[in-house]
Amino acid sequence: MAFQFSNLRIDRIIVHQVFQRDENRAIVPPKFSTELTVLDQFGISTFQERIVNALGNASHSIEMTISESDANSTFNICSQLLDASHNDFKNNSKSLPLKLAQAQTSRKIPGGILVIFDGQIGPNNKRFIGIIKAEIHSGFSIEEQNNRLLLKYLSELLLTPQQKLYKIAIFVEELRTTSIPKDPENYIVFVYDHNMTRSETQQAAQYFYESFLGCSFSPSNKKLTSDFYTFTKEHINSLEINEEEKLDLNTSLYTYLKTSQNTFIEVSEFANQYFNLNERDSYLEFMYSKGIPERAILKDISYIKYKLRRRNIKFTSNVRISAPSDQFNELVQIEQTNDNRTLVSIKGIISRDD
Amino acid sequence: MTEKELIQIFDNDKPKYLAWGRFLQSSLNESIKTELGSENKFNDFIKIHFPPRLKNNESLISKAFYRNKNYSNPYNDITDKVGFRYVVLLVEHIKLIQRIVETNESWSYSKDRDFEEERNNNPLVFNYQSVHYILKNKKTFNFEKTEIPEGIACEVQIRTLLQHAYSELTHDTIYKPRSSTSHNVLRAVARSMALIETTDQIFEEVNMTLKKANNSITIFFNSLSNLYSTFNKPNIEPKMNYFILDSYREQIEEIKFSDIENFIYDNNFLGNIIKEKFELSLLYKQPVLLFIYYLIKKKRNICKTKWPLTASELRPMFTDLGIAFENG
Repeated sequence: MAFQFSNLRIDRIIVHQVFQRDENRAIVPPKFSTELTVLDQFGISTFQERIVNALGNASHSIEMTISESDANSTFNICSQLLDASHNDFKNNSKSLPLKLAQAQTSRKIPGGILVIFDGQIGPNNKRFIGIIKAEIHSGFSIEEQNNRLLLKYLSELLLTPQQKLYKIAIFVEELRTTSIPKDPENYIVFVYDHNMTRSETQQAAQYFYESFLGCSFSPSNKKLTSDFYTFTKEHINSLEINEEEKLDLNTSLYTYLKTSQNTFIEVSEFANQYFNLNERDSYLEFMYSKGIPERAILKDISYIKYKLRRRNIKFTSNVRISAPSDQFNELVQIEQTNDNRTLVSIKGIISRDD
Repeated sequence: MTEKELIQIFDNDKPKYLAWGRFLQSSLNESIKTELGSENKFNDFIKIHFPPRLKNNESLISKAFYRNKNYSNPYNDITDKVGFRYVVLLVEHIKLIQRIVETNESWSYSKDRDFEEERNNNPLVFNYQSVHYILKNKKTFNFEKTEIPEGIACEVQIRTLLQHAYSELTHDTIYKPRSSTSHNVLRAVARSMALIETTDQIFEEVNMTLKKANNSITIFFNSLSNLYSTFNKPNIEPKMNYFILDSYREQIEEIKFSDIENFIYDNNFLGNIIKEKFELSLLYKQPVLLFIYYLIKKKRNICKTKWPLTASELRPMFTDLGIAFENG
């Protein structure tokens, strides 16, 4: 079963601050906190909600592969924090803002608050360590004075529901061992960064997931993208709807995989965009039962490139029409279907008869 | 027996009669509560509470000597020297109390009036309707430090609100005294009784229809309550549960309850979450919570779309299950 983000429990939280590089592109030393942050019940609930909305099932997070695990890697620092005493947790966590400051090579990259936290997750209480880089933005709060409501400007807000303004990763310990250093094979890592989800901003995400976290995209994305295609198609064709509706849904699948600018694909996003409300839940159930992740997949169409190039439709009479899929709707129009005949309008004239 | 003698005996016996009335009322109340399941339901069930009341001396004399009743032993033959009354909403509720009255071994009962019997005997007449029982003690015993002798009688009346309204209008004016009430008044009163009988019947139909509609939801809700009790003692607010369940009628029809049970048992950490959040939110004290968890896991789109409260009340349950409620 896919990894479950249920039963999330937060134990320790510490925050440090990293800054934008100065005019000479030199690192501005991070500001370290020496105490753990303690949140009340409502604070914890909201914090949990932010994590689940960004990383949880049906979110746009992706599972990545840990590619750097040497002594100074983020993975190594994080995995050792799990067993650290409170004091060691406070002290050793300081190397993370230092690492992030190093990774932020461009002045374009803003500073922010680095929240480092640990706890347990999932039905089996797996230990994890999480890192959030939250950008500071401004906003307002409301104050009541003598029956008047007043806006109060807040210059330092963070972790509002606005997901564009934070990046988050968690390392989950799948198998607990006593060996040191920890083996990345025993961990899974999930990352969410809004910039990763669109091709035009993907470059901007690299410093966080690659330089800082030491993660890379998992080679299984090719297979998962292909599975996404195969199983979605299988599900569409099994639906009890008329053939024209199926054709539309299949067109949507081509669009979603081939022409859309999204770098990620995600089952519940596809469901929400293209299926009727009543069909969404059964689609999710089907896809999850086939082992498609309950979160985003990096879109990699290498395995299905050929299939996506042309669309083939077959009629009951064994007649086939094949057309380039990216222009399918312009080239082939199904005008009318009745009884046993279909009126199709095709752009172009016959050029060859083999 | 003279009037004076009669009153003397009665004055002397009054504490016994009152004790018998109190004893009967408290035992009947207890049995009704047990039958209904709770004190609250009982208070809702009995629409007007009447404590036991002794017959006043004047009306005892009037009944014994002046109303052509031809009693051979007026003091013993008059059986309503103490009495009390239950007023309920529906005819069906009268029957519930009747069953309780008739199955208790501590007293013997005889029916003084039964409106259904009277209807059968006089189908053309619309008159005062109520169920009257005479309950007699079978064996001498002490109650509240008073000896209650064998054979002492108490009258218990059971009626619907509408029957009660009718009797309030007519009892002291036309029913008891044999005055020559005008034909017009009698006719009007008979018409109103006909209307009351009809209305009581319609009430009953409405009640049946509502019950039927709620039946599957009620069964479902009871199962949820049992399941919830395996984790924690719920603090049930019925309206909230039914309000939410009502939004998912279609889904409830389709779901096998064992699927919910299995889901909850497979995710037993939910029990801890329920305990931790119990004091934070009313929703976490409700059995319906388990159903919401199940829906979020299996049919989250339907769950969100049909959710009858605000999103902020649903969001925490998504978080508990680790499912993004909204994503960027």
